[in-house]
Amino acid sequence: MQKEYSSVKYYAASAAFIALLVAVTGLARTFLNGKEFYYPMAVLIIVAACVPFFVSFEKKKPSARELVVVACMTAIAVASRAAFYALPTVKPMCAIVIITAVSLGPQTGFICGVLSMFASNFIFGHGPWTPFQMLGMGAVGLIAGLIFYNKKYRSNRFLLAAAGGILGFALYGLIVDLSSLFMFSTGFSLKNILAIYASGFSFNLSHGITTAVILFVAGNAFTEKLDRIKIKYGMF
Amino acid sequence: MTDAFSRRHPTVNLIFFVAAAVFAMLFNHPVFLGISFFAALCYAVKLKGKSAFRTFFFALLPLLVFVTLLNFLVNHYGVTVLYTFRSGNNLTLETIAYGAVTGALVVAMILWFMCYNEVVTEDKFMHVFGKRMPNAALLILMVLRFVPMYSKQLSETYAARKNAGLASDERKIDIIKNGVSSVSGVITWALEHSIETADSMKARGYGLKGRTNYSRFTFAPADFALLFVMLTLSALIIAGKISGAADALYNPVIKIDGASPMLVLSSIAYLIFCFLPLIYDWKEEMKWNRLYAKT
Amino acid sequence: MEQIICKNLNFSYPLSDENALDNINLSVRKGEFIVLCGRSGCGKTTLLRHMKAAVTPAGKRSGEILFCGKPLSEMNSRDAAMKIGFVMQDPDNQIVTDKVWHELAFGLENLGTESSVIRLKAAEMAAYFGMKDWFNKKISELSGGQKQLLNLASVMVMNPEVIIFDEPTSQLDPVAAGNFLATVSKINRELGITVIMTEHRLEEVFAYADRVLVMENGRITVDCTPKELTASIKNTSEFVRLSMPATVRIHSAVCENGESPLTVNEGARWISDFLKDKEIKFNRIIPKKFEDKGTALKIKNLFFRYDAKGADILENLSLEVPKGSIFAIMGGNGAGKSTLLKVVSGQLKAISGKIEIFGEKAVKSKAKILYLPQNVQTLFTRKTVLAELEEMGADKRKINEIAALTGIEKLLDRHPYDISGGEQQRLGLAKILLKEPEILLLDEPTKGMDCEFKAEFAKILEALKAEGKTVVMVSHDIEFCSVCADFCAMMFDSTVVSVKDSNGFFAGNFFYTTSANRMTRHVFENCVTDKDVISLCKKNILP
Repeated sequence: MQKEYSSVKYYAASAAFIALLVAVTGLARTFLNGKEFYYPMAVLIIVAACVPFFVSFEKKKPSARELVVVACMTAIAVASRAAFYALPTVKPMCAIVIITAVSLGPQTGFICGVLSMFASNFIFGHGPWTPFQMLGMGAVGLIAGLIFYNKKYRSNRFLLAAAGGILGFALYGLIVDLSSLFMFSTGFSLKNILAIYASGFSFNLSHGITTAVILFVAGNAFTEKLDRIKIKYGMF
Repeated sequence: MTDAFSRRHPTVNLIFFVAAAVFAMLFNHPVFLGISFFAALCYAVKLKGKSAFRTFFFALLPLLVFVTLLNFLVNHYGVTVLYTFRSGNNLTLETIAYGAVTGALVVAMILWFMCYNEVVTEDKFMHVFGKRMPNAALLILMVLRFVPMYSKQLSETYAARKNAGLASDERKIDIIKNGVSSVSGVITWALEHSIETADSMKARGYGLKGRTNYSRFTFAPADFALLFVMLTLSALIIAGKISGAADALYNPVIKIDGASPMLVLSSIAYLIFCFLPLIYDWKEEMKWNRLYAKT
Repeated sequence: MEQIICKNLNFSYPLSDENALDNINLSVRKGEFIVLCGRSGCGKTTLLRHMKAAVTPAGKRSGEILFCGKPLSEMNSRDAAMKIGFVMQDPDNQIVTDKVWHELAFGLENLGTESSVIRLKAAEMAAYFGMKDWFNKKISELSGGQKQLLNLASVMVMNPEVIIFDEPTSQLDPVAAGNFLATVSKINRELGITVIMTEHRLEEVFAYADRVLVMENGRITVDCTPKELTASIKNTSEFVRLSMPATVRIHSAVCENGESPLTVNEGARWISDFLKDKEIKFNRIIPKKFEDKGTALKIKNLFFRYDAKGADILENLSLEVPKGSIFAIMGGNGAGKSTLLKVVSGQLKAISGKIEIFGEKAVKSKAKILYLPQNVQTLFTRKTVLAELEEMGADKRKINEIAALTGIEKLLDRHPYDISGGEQQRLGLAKILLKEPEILLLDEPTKGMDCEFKAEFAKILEALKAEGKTVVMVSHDIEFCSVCADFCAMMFDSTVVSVKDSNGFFAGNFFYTTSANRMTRHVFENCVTDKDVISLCKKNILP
C-alpha cells in the first residue's frame, strides 16, 4: 500500500466537480435566496471528495492480506469507539486511524477513517452528521499519512502526539461542526459560525488532547505492532 | 418489529429515505415541514415503539429549543421587533420563527434517519452498493464481522488485566490506562489472527478475476409498484418547489405563500409520499386480515 | 487412482538451515481418509499447506507435488481454489463475512458465480449440514462448533475433491468435536471426498481413518492403517504412544504384541478374553487418600444472573474446596462453569450467597485468588515473553524461578504470539503465578493442547500442589481430570450436582467417565485411569 494507488485524473475530475458544486450553490443562493441548498450540496461535495479514493481503491485490487489488515484496523477503531462509550471525551478511534495512516499510507488512512466512522454508525445510528464525520475522520487519516509519509518522522512521539492533537482538535472538529452549522443556523454570518464553533470548543479540545495523549503514550507501540505484521506477512 | 415496507427491496427502501431526507431539507414551508415532521415521527414510533417517544421528548425537543434559542440570541435580523435587549440588540419575530423552522427541520431529518437505521440494515445497504464498489463493500462486511469479535476480546482483555492485578478501576485515569493497554493488546491479537483470515480468503479463491456479489434480494411486482408511486409523487412535489408555490421566506421578513392550487396539489402529494411506508403497511395488514383473520 | 503425490519433497523456511520437510514421499488415493499425527513443530502443518498452493509458505523447496498427475504449481488458480479445500484450526479466524448465508456464498462469489446459482448451492449446503435454523444468523451469535461446521460447509459449497483439515477440533468442546468429526466422516463416506487431517483426538478419528501417517522432524516415519500402527506401537516414539486411545495404551502395556482394540466396545471384549481363565482376585484399586488441611474456598447458597429478569446462571450453589487440592469442575456447555469462576474471582458480583476464602470473606482477601482466563491471549500486550513476565512487577529471581517452573525459560526473548498454544497457556499461568496467588482458578487450561503438553501441564500443576497452592479448574477434559484432579464436581443446570474424590467420581458415573473405566467396569470395580487398569491386569495375571 506504500505504492500509492492514486490516479491523478480521478482527483482532477473530483476537484472540478467540487468546484462546479460550489458554483451551483452560490448561484442557487443568489437566485433562490434559500439556505436549504447548502446541506445537500455539502453532502454532494463530500461524496465527490471521496469518489477518487474509492475509485482507485476499487481499481487497485488489493490482496487478501492488505484487505484484511485494513479491515482489522478499521474494526479496532470501531470497537474502541464502542468500548469507550461511557467516557465520551476519550475516543481512541482518532488515534487508531492516525496510526493506520502513518503505517499504511495516506490513502489507506483516508479509507480507514471514512469506513470506521461509517461502520461505527451502524452501531451508534446514522444521522445527518454521518457524512461529515466520515469526511472528518478520512481527512485526519489522509493528512496524518501525508505528514508522516517520510519514515524518519515516525518514531518521534512528540511530533506524533502534536500532529494527532491538532488533527483531532482542529481538522476533525472543524469538519464535524460544519454539519451543525449547516443544520442549526439560519445563515452564515460570522456570528453564527463563531457561536457554533464556540459551542463545540470544549468537546473538540478534549478530543484533541486525549488523541495526543494516547498517541504519546502508545503510538509507537501501535506502529511497531503493524510493522511486525508487515514483516511477518511480507506485505511491503 | 418489522413492517411491510422494510420487507420490500433495498433499492426501494433506500430511494425512499434519500428522497425523504432531501425533501425535508429543501422545503421550509410550514405545511411541508409539518407533514414531514409528523410523518417521520409516526413512522419512528411505528418502528421503534416507546423508545422513539423517549428520544423525541428527551433529546429531539430540547434540540429544537436549543436551535431556536441559538438563532435568536445570536441573530438580530428582521423587522418585527418584540423586545430590545440591554445591549441594544433586538429580539425579532423573524429570528424566532426561522430558528424554530430550522430546528423542526433538523429534528425531522434526525427522525427520518432513525427510521432509516431500522429499515435499511447493513445487508440492504451492502446489496445496493456492493455491486458498484465490491472492494469497499467486502471491506465493510469484514469490519462488521470483526467488530463484535473485537469488542468481546476488548472487554475480556480489560477484565483479565484487572483480575491479574495489572490495573484497577478506582480512578478514571486507571480506567483509561487499562483501556489503552487493552486496545494495544487487542491490536496485536487481531493482527496476528488476521493472517489466518487472509489465508482462508485465498484458499477460497479470493483474488480470482470476475468476483460477483451475491444478494438474497430480488425484485417483486410490489417493488415496481412502489417505485412508480414514489416517482409520480416526487414529480408533483418537485413541480411545487420549482413553480415557487411552496416558498417561504423568514429573513428579513416573514413571507409565506398562501394556498394556491399548485401548493395544495403538491402538498397532498407530499403527504402521501411521507406516509407511504405507513400506508403500505396498513394496506398489507388489511390484505392479511381479509385473507386469514376472518374467523 | 492416485490423487495427490508428493515426490522427494524437501522444504526449509527462510532464515533456517533445518529442513522443515525432509524427503517426503506420499501418495493419496481418491476417497481416502488420512490422519496425520506428530508432536507440535514436526512439520505436519507445513506439509498440509504444501498441498494447497494458495497457502503454501515461502521458502526453499525441492521435489514435486502432483495433483491428478499434473504438478500442483501448474494447476490454474481457479481449479486450485475449487478442487482442494482447506479448513484450519481456529473456527473464528477463517470467517470473512458477518452472516452465515454470506459466508457460504463467499467462495462462489470469488469464482464469479451468478446469484441464482449461489442461492441453489447455499440452500443445498444448508440442508446437507442441517444449518436451517441458523442460516440467517449473524456469525457472532454462533457457537464454536457451528462456526467450524460453517467453515466446512463454505469449503464444501465449492465442490472440492479433497479437503485438508489442520487440527479442526482443537478449539471445540468434546461434544462439538465429536459432531464435527462425524460430519467429516459422512462427507468422506457419502460423497467420496478425500480427507487429509491432522488431529490429536485420535480416539474418535481412528474409527474413521483408512490410514495413519506419523511425522517426526519433518519426515514421515510411519504410514499404515490404524490397526497396523497399534500392532507395531512398541517401535514408535513416546509421543505416538501417549497420543493413542486409552484402549491401545492399555493393551500395549499389558500384552506383548498383537493388534489393539480401537473402540471401548472392542476394548471391553478384549479385557474379558484376556482375563477369561483367570480368577479375578483383585477387582478394585485403593485410591490415594487426600490429606485434609482445611478448607481453601467455601461457597454457600450462591445465586447469580446476568439480566435482572433473566434466568439464574448459578442457582443456590454450594461448594467446598479443600486446601492444597486440585479441584476439577466438569459439566456440559452452558452449565455455568466459567461464570462460577468469574464470580469467585470477583469479576462478577453474586446476587446473594457467601464466598469465603480461608475462612475470610472473599472481598477482604483479594490478593490470594487469581483467575486464568480460557482465552489466555487476553493477558498478552507486550513484545516479548520476558516483557510479559516483567510487567507483573516481580523481581528477577522470582521471574527466573517461575519461568523454570512453567518450562518457558528458553522462550524468554520470543514474541508471545510466535510460541505455540501450549506454551502460551504456560506463559499465561506464569504471569498469574508471579502475583503469588494462594488459589488458582483455571478455565479450560488444556484446550487445544496435545498429549505431550498436557502431560507437562499436569506436572506443573502437581508442582504447584506440592507448594501448597490450591487449584480449581473448569474443564471438559475427562482424561486429564481423571489423572490430575484430587476432587471432581459435576455442574449441571446452574448448580453443582455432585462432588467426590476423583476416583469415586469417575467410577460412579456411567457415561461421563474415562474410556478406561467404561471398558473395564464389567470386570473391575473402580479403575479410572490407564495406570489403574494396567496395575490390576498385571496383578491378576501374576501366578
